[in-house]
Amino acid sequence: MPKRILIVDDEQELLDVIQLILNGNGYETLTAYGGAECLNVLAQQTVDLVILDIMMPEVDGWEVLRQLKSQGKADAIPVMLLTAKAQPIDRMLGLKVFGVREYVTKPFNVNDLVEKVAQILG
Amino acid sequence: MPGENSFQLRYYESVMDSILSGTLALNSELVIASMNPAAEHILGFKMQECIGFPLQRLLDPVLGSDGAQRLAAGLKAVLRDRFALSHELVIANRIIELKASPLVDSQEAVMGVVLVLEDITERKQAEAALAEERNLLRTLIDNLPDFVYAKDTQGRYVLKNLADGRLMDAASPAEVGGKTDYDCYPPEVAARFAAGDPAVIRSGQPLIDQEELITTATGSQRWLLTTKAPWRDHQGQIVGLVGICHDITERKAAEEMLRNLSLTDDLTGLYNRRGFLALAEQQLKLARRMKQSALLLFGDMDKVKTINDTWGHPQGDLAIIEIATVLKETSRESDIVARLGGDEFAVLALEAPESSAQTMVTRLMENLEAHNARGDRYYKLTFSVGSARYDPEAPCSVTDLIKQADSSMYQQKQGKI
Repeated sequence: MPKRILIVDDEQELLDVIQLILNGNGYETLTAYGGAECLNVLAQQTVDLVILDIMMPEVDGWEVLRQLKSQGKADAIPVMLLTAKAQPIDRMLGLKVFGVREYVTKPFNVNDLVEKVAQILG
Repeated sequence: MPGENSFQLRYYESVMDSILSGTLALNSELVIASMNPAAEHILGFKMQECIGFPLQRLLDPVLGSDGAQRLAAGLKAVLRDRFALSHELVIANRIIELKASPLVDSQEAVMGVVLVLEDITERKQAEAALAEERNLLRTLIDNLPDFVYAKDTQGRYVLKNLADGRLMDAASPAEVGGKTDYDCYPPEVAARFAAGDPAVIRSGQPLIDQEELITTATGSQRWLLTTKAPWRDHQGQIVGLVGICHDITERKAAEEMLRNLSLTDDLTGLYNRRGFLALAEQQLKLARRMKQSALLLFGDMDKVKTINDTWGHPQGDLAIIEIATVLKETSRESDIVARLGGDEFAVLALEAPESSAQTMVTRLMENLEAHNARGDRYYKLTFSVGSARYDPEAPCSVTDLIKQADSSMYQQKQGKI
């Protein structure tokens, strides 16, 4: 049974690219265009990993993480942040405060991303 | 070195845990990334309610959405323009001072904002109480009828009350701040106001109840009773002086009036001119009714000016007192003895067999000689005297009698030369 990954971003092009890469590596993928859609998907389906952008209009990545935490789902769903925000304070927020599994900054290296996904999903 | 890093981290952590100021670190979206226990206490939120949440959402119920939005806008400006911001917030009836400054990374790029929160309620209350007290004192000082001021050691006004402002100039008391007397008044007036200031500041001794006559801005003359006292700081160092001037012009006028009403002469205790004229007039009316004659002796003391100039006024005063004594010794209880002014004296006596003009003058001169014979003075007292006789059949006024006696004395003086 292939592992299922939810990709969340407000850039359709990027969603397509990541989907292509992950499918090529044998993963099943879902996409959500923005934070609100992400929370909708997660309310209905189970996934093995969420690849989450931070800077999105309306519901941003932090809000998604807060919601997951308050719904008690944070521990059950591994998250990888994929973001243009490269500052130490944001890395700290993601990794220490919200306990995400990986913090990857854009622009990213494809091999790197695949490797990190593989590590998380075992 | 890992050891060193771990030491630094432990050090920062324990500082954060123990300081009384609240601190928070926000990222560029103003999401709270870190805070210390004091911030928890000041904001009234548990740490888990804050970390990971946007500051604006947290403070929304506390500051109102307008207040929270305004603060967020200010912090965004700190991020954008890299400046430090200071802001006062009211949280649960406490006044909180918030200072925000940009948080930069190792490349000097702004990655967030550091907030430092301080509960300044007590300080604000103390400031308000102090302001209230100052206001109370200021109101009291301004409404005093006395003129009150304070100067620093350089003679610059620090404070002046309204009464003082009204007295000397149209300028409001606020305008004299930092100015000296010489900046405010003509040199001679300033010199008089500043007189004694250096002595008070140097010695630390107050100058109490000095009477001074001043000319006000409107040109009128006022008598002031001035007290100047050193003004000390909390360590007892003299930092200036305070002055209080009480306007005693009315009192002086009343004293003057009383003196004018008085019938006696302060120095000698004899009747003064006013007393003499009133009483002598009565005596002459009596003499006329009783068909009795009367004698008026009029004289002046010689060389009073010389005594004053040579030995000083106190000595001149003593000489005048002594002449008065001689005149009293020479006269009867019922005679009216007076100092008409300066060195002029007069005696009015009802005529009796033993008191003809000649015998009275002779007795006077003998008594004077006896005083001079004591030799306890550097000079001799001499007295020129003239007399006039009052005839009840041809009555005249006291003033006329004085004139007659005066011209008789003049003739006697001419005779002396």
